[in-house]
Amino acid sequence: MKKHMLKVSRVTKRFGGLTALENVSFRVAENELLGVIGPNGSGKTTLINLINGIHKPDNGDIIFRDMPIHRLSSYKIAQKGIGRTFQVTRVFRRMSVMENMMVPALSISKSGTQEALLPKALEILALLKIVHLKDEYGRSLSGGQHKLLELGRVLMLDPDLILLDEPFAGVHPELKADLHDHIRKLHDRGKTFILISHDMHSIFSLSQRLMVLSSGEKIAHGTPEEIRKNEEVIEAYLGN
Amino acid sequence: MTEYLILQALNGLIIGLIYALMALGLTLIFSVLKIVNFAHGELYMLGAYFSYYLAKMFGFPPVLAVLSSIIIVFFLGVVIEVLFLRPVYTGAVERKDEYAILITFGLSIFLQNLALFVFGPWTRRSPSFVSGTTSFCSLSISNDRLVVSALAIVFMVATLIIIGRTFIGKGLRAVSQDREAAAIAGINPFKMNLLAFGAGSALAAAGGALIGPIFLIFPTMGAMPVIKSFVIIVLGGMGSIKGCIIASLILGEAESLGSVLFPDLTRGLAYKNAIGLLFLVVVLLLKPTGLFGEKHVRMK
Repeated sequence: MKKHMLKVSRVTKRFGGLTALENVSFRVAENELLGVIGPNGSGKTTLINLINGIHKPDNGDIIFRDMPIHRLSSYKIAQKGIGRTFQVTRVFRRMSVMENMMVPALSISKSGTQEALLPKALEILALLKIVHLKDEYGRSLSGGQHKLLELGRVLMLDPDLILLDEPFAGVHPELKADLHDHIRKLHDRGKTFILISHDMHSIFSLSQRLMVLSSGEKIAHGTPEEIRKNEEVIEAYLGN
Repeated sequence: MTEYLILQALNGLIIGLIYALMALGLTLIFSVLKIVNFAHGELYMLGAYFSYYLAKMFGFPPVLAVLSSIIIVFFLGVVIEVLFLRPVYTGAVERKDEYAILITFGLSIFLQNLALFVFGPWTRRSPSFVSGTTSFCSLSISNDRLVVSALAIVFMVATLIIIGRTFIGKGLRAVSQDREAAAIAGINPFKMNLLAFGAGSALAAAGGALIGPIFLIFPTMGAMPVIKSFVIIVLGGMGSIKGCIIASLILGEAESLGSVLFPDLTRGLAYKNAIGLLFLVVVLLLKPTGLFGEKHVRMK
């Protein structure tokens, strides 16, 4: 049995009077690809924000590799090996693609020189098929290219756990197929993923296991086949 | 008349370079910490005093006194950031913008009065870098002004290289563009705040220390330059380093040439400060984001 990399226990998050997440618990094993689905406002992005430290939970624990991380700052969590992308991409628009890739280098460079990390950045850009854009400014890229650059920036940190928030939203079908391919390849190389998506075809085909949130509560979890047949899930999406 | 105008243009360039140093510091602080540092003029004043005393009392060579003063004020900036500005980013204060305005404004008044108490109200002048004048054709310019220009350019280029080429510069730029995304990329935003405030303070001190041998040093000497720095960063486009440098040079020239080209020469100098502000009004009417400012895009 694989060891659990991430343990989320009874996590609750409130924003004023609104409960975004209520008592949510789950575990992610090493090299697992966990999909998280749920209707809009179900708390999926809040969950990712809690794992990577943008928000702090009101209750509950988040343990990554046997270490509590729920009180740590985002940058410390990133340095411990959790990377993420955003639903609305957040590349550094006034920096070139290569400069975007080198930003995480400040926290990972052992030698203190940028030259040592250039080959790694070029390799990742080549893997993502955007190496030809290395000198372009972030602001001049398309939405899909922003998604790839953001993924590339995450990979520079070489994280063990990657959180992807709606990676396929607003992406050209051709680019979407590329993204599928990249996620699969990275997963095959040993990376662990938590994937949020409204793209049912993508998330059902990529995920080994799915967790379903509705109104801030976990209503189901299981294999894609089990989730597809779960009546509570069907009701949450389609109503009565 | 032509020679006089050329001389004034040179003076404008030198003043512009000093403005650029100060405004660059203010821009760095504003870009990274997202606060307007009202105490920036007092850091400029302290830079001038530290340089003066290091040269006069401890016998430091003038250039070494300037460099030492810059280093002292860098660390002073670091202490100010940790003691007074850190609460803005740790969630310890609720109304962050108001807190930052009040704390830096209060610090400005405190430092001015502390300088008055410690250094006295008398004006002082730092020792010359190189005494005498240098002549080009029929123009004559003081060696101090030439040294000040050269050092100002060196400090500015060094700052631009650090910001543009180094890891730390990339970290500062990343935090200035998107603090949260930079943190997700593993950058410690608190460390960047510290560096930005320290470096911004050091740049203000560089301006003050360099101006010491040319103009007078007194406790309220930073009041007017800080207002001009605000004008410059708005004129150049909030947060734009290129805009800040170009706007500084434009303002220096506009003030210098404007005062001698003013129809009534006896009043020209009195309108010097108004010329820069008038220029700002015209630019903002035509381009509200400033010369090189971008429409702010929030990606949240």
